Amino acid sequence: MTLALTLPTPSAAGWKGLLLGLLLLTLMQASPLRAELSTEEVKASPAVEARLVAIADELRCLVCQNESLSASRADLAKDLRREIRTMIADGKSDQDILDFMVARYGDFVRYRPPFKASTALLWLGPLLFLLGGGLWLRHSLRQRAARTAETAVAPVAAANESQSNVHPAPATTTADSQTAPPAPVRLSRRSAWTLTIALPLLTLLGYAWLGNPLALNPANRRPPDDPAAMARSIEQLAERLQKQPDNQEGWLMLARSYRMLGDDTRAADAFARAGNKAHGSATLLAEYAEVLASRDSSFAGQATTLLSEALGKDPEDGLALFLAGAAAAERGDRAAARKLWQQLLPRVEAGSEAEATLKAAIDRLQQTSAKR
Amino acid sequence: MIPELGLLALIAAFWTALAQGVLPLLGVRRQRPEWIALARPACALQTLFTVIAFACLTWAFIADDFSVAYVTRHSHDALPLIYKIGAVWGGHEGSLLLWVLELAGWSLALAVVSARHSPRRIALPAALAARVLGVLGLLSAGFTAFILLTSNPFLRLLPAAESGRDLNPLLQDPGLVFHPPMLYMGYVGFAVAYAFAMAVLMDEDSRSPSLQQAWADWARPWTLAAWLFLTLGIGLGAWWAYNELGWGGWWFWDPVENASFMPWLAGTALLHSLAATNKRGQFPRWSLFLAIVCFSLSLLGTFLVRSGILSSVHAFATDPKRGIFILGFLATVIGSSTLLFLARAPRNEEDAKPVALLSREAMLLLNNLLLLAACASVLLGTLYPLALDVLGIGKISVGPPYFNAVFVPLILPICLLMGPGFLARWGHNEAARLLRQLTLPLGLCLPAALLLPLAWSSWHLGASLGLFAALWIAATHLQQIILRLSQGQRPGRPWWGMQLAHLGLALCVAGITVVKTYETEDDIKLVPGQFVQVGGLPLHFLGVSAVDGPNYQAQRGDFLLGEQRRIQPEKRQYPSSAMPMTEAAIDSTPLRDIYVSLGEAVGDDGAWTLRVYYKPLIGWLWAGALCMALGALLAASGGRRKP
Amino acid sequence: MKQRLIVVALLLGLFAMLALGLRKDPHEIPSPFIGKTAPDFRRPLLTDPQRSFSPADLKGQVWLLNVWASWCSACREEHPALLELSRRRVLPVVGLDYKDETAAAKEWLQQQGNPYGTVVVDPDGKVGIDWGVYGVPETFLIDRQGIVRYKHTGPLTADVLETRLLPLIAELNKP
Repeated sequence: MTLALTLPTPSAAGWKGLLLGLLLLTLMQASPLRAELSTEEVKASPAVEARLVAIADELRCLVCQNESLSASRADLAKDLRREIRTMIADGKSDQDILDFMVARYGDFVRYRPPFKASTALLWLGPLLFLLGGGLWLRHSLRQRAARTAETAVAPVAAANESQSNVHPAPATTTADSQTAPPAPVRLSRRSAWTLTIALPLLTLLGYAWLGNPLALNPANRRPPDDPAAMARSIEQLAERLQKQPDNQEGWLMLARSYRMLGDDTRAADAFARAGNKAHGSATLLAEYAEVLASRDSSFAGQATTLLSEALGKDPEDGLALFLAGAAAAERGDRAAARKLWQQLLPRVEAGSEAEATLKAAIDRLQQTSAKR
Repeated sequence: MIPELGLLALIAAFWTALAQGVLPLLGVRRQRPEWIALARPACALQTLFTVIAFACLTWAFIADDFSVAYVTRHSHDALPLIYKIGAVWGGHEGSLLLWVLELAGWSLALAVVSARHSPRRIALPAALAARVLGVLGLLSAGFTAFILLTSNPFLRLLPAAESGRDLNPLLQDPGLVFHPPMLYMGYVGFAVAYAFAMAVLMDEDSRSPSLQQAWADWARPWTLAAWLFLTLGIGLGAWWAYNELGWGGWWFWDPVENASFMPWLAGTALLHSLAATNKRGQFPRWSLFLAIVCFSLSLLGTFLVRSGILSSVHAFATDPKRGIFILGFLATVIGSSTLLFLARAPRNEEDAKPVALLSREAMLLLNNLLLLAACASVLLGTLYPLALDVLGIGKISVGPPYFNAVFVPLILPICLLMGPGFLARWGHNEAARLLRQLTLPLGLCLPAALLLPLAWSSWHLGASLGLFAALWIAATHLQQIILRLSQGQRPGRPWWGMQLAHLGLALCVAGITVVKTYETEDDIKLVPGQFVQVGGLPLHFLGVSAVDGPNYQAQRGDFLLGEQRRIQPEKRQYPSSAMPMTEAAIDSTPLRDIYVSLGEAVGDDGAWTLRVYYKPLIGWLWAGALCMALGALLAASGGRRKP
Repeated sequence: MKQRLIVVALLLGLFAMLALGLRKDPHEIPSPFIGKTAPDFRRPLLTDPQRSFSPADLKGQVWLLNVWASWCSACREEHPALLELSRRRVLPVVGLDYKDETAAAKEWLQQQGNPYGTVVVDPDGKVGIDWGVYGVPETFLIDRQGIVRYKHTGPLTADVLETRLLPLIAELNKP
């Protein structure tokens, strides 16, 4: 059975943590939100810029690695361009600047590989291909010419042979085209039956191995709306797991189901029993942290560690960002909470309830801090 | 429900493809006509199943079925419908399913066409057809197995997610909806030529000259079609990059771009070789060899993109298991065909015909040599860093400076060769006649090439060389058109197709030469009301306003170029991405593009930084690619020439 | 016949290279400083800007330079390993606070724990450039003569610590 267990964005249920965060707010210093991609320093003269572009075009951005240093918007690229401008202003030559880069980052940073023993084959290769090809061509032409000379000597038999070689009409196939289309071939009964049975059988066999029949039941696909039905299926799962205590994936499913029901204590226990599987993705870690925080009414302790781990795995995970911000706010770490929530804001769907709540939370922080 | 159906259909497709592969091949070997006869029906059935599977996946996207993990990773309910469909091939699993679908489609087309008997056409003998379909079936089975075992798009997410992660905003562009399907049509199309080559090599009579001529005849239209699609695919990719990426570039010699360019170069050589084999029985070994090489390069490209072995913007998410599988597949396909070729291809010592110097055959041979040298050089540059890394010698980068340095000196002789190559006749050797005919074009092109660069700016040797090459092609070909028409000849479509394709190349060469030599790029800061001179016209900055799109919010800049042309670049914020996307705005005329890309807001007076590009003749690139594709279409549709 | 063998050999070589290449990471850039003298610098300390640190100060000892920042999320992942290292008192660990704000850095260390004997600041990233830093976190091992012996890019894992770093440190510490 194949199951993928990652939830990519926080569900509506996950935002209940927002309420928790609101309860735990402390005062914060407001600061401008705008993601400041700093514009470059005052550009130098066009001549210097032209030289910069010429040099930077030859260098590879080390962060994204698929752009030149002149095209890249990465921070390191900006820093390096700044360094190059300074060096140009200092009167360094192009070679000096290249040497500077190579000394620090190795030959990797140059898009034009230097000519060395190890790259000799690279630079000479195309020339060798041409020369080799040329020599081969000459040899081949001569060989063919020589053979023509030979065959020209032999009289009639050779002439007949060469004539049939040059004759365009393909002998075998003209015979075919002149006859009527071949009679349709009937498949023997036995073969027909074998195939008709074999195909569906083999297909079902493959499906048994690769397929996921659980998915055929619509109830399994939709997160259940009916709380009673959900509670029932959860009970069944819990019972089954009592008999299979090592089924970590099962415990994980149970934990997430309890979380959706709001039963934080049971959810926390189930997450703990899910072991490594609970650490499989940032979202799972965040969910685990959430139930712990809910249960203990505080982020202190394991919840904070889990959130750190979550952000380490995926610094963009929505739920982790949100909860980590709330945890920071609880601690009194205004700067961190602000940073985390600002990072989250552009990722929230515009006009959604979640965005409104998040914005309200950030505003509240700024208001309360302004009061102070 | 539907995704499970899709999975079932895909599994059924696998078994059917396997049957299509194994039974006819065994049937020919063991003289069992009933197995041979299974080839076409199996092919039809396999195509049906594949279509069902693909349709199911597409439905899952259209219906926002977030219980399918692949849909969740690449779609979003707010995504416009056309991009939901495009998202089907936006990721690795779906794009592979597209590959398999197209392969099935080509196989079916071949099965249908080869079954027809018509007076103009020499029918494909049953045994050969069975083998061709058999090889295609094996390829399909291999790819389908790859999908089922390592890249299953129908994996489920239970319970379903609330919403998807959204398609990468970079991919939300019409160019990118069409670019992969076109490209794959090219790659997969070369599989047909490959299958033909394999079928010929497996034939008992594999060395017979008549068979060589015949298979070249049958394979030509298919190869032309594949080449056509590949040309369009590459052109679309470059055009998309130019329009979408915001930095005015269109070709970066990225490993994945190279992976598409190498089959194109080899495919061009194959087309020319097939022409010679078909018409004159010449170069049968070359044709077989190139058919194998083309498809092998397509597969190599697939490997490079999907295995994570090279760093590239195009690379899909990687998984070592996938890399190993494709490598195994690659090794099998290349290994088996190489061994077969070495064992059974026509031998040079016995069968190679004479080639007169300065004959069309000789020119073609030289042309192939140059194209292959170019292809080999690109391959060398792409794989060299990997080789050094594996040998532990160090890590280097091979980028545009290398490829430009190495490729340009190879493409120029090819262009120059086109002149005499086009004029030369088959089998003859008339230096005097050639020289006589070429004097006029030479006399026209040389001064034109020397003077034209001045139309843009200062004189550059590179610009003159490139323009000379383009003018040379145009002049020699136009000369022939005029000559033939004036003599009252009515050349057929294939001839016109060839003209158009060659002229297309001339357009590309001219465009690339001028753009690369005379383009300008300026970083400027403007306050609303200010203007800057670009390409001889004033570009007025009117301001920036906030705008909402279907699934994004944007800052839109308003510019007026000259008196009337409005240019509106945007910076868009998609909900799923932290980084804003730059949508450049381009004003195009046949002679130049003016390209404006927003930077950032600066200060409080409404000033913005921007990049403004002036790109002369860049439109000729896209026009040239279109011409090449149209030329191939004309040539392919021209019906069969009597050999 | 010879021609055929050459062709087959070339193909096998190609496949072998591609197979081996699958194990490599195309994004990792080896440091050109391995085996060379560590680049010199002198920068103020995080805790006391009046004092400064330079690699020359630790000449004669084997020591570790860890490049980190409070804005770097992957740094959190390696923090337990660093704390472990400092707890065991294996060798001096110097932190290079790369392109960071002082207040944020101090708070981060306060929350996460401070594994560093010394923390030196590099607010404009110039020291980072001089050391060839291209991604945070990065860790360098420097020997008694001031030569860089090992560089690890990315978060330090317990695995790397046990299998690569600690044995190398032990070896460099031998008299």
